[in-house]
Amino acid sequence: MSEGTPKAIELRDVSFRYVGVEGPVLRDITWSVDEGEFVVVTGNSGSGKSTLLRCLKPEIAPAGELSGEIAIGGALLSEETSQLVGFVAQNPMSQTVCDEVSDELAFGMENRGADPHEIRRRMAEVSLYFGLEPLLHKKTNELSGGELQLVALSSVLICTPHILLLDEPTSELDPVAAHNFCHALFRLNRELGMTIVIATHQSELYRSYATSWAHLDEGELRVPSCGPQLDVGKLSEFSFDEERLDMERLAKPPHGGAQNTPRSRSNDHGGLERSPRGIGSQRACNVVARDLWFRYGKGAPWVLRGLDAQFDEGSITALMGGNGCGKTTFLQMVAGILKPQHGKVKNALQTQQAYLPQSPQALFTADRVDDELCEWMGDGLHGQKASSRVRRNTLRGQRDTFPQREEINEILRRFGLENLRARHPYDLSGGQMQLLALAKVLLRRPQLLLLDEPTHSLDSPSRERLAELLHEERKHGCTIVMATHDGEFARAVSDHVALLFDGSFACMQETEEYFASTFLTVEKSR
Amino acid sequence: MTVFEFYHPVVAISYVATVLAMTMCAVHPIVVLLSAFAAYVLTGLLAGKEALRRAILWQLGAVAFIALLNALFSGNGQTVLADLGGLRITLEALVYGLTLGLLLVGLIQWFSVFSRLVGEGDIFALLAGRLPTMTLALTMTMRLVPLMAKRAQAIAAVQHANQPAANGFVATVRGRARQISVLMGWSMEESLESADSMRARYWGFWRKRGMRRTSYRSRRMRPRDVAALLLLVALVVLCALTLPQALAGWTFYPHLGPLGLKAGYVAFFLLLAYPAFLVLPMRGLLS
Repeated sequence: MSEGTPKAIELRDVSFRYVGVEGPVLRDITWSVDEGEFVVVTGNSGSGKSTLLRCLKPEIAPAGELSGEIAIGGALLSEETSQLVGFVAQNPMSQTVCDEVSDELAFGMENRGADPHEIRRRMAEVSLYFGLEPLLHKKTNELSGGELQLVALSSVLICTPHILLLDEPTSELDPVAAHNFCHALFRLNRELGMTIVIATHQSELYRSYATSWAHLDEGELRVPSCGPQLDVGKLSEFSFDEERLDMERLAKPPHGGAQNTPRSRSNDHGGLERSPRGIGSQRACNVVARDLWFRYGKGAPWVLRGLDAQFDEGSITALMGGNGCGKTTFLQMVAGILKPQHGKVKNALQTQQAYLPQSPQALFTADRVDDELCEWMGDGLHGQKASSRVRRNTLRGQRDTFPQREEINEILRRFGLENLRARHPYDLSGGQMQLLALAKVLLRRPQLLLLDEPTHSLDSPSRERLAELLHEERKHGCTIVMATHDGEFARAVSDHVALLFDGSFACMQETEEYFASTFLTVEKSR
Repeated sequence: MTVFEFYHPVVAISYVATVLAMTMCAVHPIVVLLSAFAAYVLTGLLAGKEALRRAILWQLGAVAFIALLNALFSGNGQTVLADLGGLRITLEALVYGLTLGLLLVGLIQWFSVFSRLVGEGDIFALLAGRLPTMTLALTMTMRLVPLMAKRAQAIAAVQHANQPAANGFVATVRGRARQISVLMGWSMEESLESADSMRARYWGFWRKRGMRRTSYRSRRMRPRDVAALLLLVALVVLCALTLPQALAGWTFYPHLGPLGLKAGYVAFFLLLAYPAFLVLPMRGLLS
């Protein structure tokens, strides 16, 4: 193809069209990646990032019509050259196959029929490189997301690829694990010269590691014209700024300030009228936790030890804290899913609550996005009855005459899902799935909203829209408690921040006060 | 840590398989008793006193139940112990029931010992080259069963937290059905991603190349392993020569045959004590 050293990856006029879908997903892409580069491919959800990466690995290439030429290391893409390419996907859980870590590591080499001695040797090397020995004989189910993703990476590395393709590898991980994973990639790139191509919306995370960038927009690839040195100024237009939440746009109304504009819902949601409170009146505390102690089974360490908390009506509280510190446990206790072994949760809003779990999949019951949203509507909070009626209605093809369709259309539009209404929820991208789950719990118009990692795998525009919607809910008197790793989002949205540490709250402060007094958070420096 | 970990997994598998086969073939009180006793000793050594106590507790109940059932309904045998209005309880029927019961729980206990002696990894390693798909299906099942159980719980929790008003039988059934459908949808979706991950790591590659899938776990046979297997073969030959003689004279009905001390019992005992022979060259490591 070109003279001199061959490019690691070279694409010429590559277009791709899915079977049965009009219009190409990738249009006339001509692009090359040099040996040893660390390339970050950005682009919004559905811009074709995953498709592009998968087209470079024939084993998992999507079904469709591919035109143009793809070359790996100077030779056309084939079963042979494909062995130079390793692929790591987004979800650590679903790309794991085996029960034990060592089997998972050996999987690829065993499939290639490699000599057992060779496999053991490579396993030893990769374990040494990433310090995996303590995990080697553990069950894959018992690992944390970060550990599991590192195992997934190692299980690809063991097949000695020259090029690593990673599709949103860190979007399922908490910030600490995400940074560790990035660092692992960084070492592979700089120490071993491995070529790395990452498709991600978390461009901020890779900022200091990337050597070049590419941006996909509606299937067209743009490459910024900058040298081997990272040119922050030129890239900022599409890579860095969109990571930041627009603080001004999200400026919070003063505490309780907008409560004199309650939503009039009495006509379509019987008994859901919210009582607005006058400014300055004593706020009600409908959710109170006293002296909670909890552990998962006898002999297990205590997760919560003597935790006290209360949440004001119409306020947003962000629960922050490290991995496994008990944020989810506490949320589930407030929701009434878990019972404390000692202490008490008073939740007067239990019948009017909505709970968003960490995995949106746990919420999805329908075959279509819009049916999904209908499920809990109808007569609002009494979903059991409503859902059967809705199901019957939708079965008769009366989707468009459903009384709350306006509300559904509105939220679909605001989350940018309106063109996906006929899709199956599982055919959405990770971020879109999360948005659908959020829409579903928001449409219940709850008085208490419990959110577990609401911004998980969302890109910045979606985070902003979510922030707006949460503020609206709050205006109508909804109490919101969210467990989050996303400090930036917490800062922009919440009234209070509670830092969960060692089984109880290390502090529970007003957001401004909290961020003013932190000394080790990234958000502090912005 | 068991002594079998120092040897090739074939050693442990052959040992348990031999004992199981011989116990099943010989419905004889002494043989069954010896076999069950050995299974309990091994359970105690491998799993601890508590596990042994629990196993013995329910199994004694099971043996008593089977013996009683046979004694009440068999009616065979000459030595009448009690006559309950035409229902004769004979010594022979009672002994036969006890033997059968002990055989049954003994076999169960041997299977439990087997699962402790031979990890699933060892079995996978032996099968991997020959039955790669089945081996993978097994290891995936081991992973997915607890994972799905955990997920089912999470789904139920979410439904419960968001729809607390589910009361009544119909609502409960409907709720369960929905939970199952959510779990199915979730798992199927995930299986697509797993399939991609497998393909990206060359699943099926060996077939295209006409090779065998390998296993990193496969172990080389050392001279020590061969010696251990030869010892097992010797013990089996000894049993084969002496046991039939010992069993030949024995009958349950109409009269219990003569027991007497036969060479066959000793041979079978030596076979059961095989692990002890394995320990001998490994004493230093196990202390």
